[in-house]
Amino acid sequence: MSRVIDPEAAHLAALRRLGDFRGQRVVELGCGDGRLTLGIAADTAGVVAFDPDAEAVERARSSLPIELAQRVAYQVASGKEIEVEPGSFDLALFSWSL
Amino acid sequence: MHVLHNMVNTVRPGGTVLDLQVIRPNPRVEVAERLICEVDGSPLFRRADAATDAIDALIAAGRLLEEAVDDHDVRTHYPSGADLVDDFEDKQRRLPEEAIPALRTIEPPCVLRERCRLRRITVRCAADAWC
Repeated sequence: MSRVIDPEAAHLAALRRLGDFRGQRVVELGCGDGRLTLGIAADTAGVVAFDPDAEAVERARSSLPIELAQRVAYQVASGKEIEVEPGSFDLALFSWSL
Repeated sequence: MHVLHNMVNTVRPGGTVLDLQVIRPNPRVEVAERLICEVDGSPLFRRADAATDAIDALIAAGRLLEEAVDDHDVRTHYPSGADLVDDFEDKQRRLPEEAIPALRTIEPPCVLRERCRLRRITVRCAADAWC
């Protein structure tokens, strides 16, 4: 694909204006290929990122830097399918996913 | 909306929800910041409106509290008009039919500019608790 989405990082700038990710346990729904995940992960205690698109999640996994490997977990699932312990995250990020 | 309730339940009381949605006006196709055409964004707006309504209902019920809103433009860059047209072939949003022939002839880079809204929302209480 020859397109480049948001090279100006406007989304990430907005996330940083409104969100404080430091030390937060984050769940992300609609992570796609991990564009936003990678932008926030280093600040967090950890990110569990979901997307129903298996190909996008595979791209996300393959581009995950080794230094973030212990901090980010990508999973293929939709918002209806996700089963996690209630209250187990500090912050939820919905990326065009509700 | 089952998805919203399911996801909000994953966040502890006092935690944060950040919701990113596309908003009106229609996305614009631009070359060097000059408007070429608008894209009918209604398929995405319908979904975004439904999501916003669902969150607003939880705010009205006292379960969530909206604390901040950030509207911003996001650009997707294409090497040419033809690349942009090709990328739209499998999208819900449609380019105006009458604009496609001219778009295909555009050789310089094209930009799709969309307006987005990020909302910061606090979870006030657990699903099974009184707020």
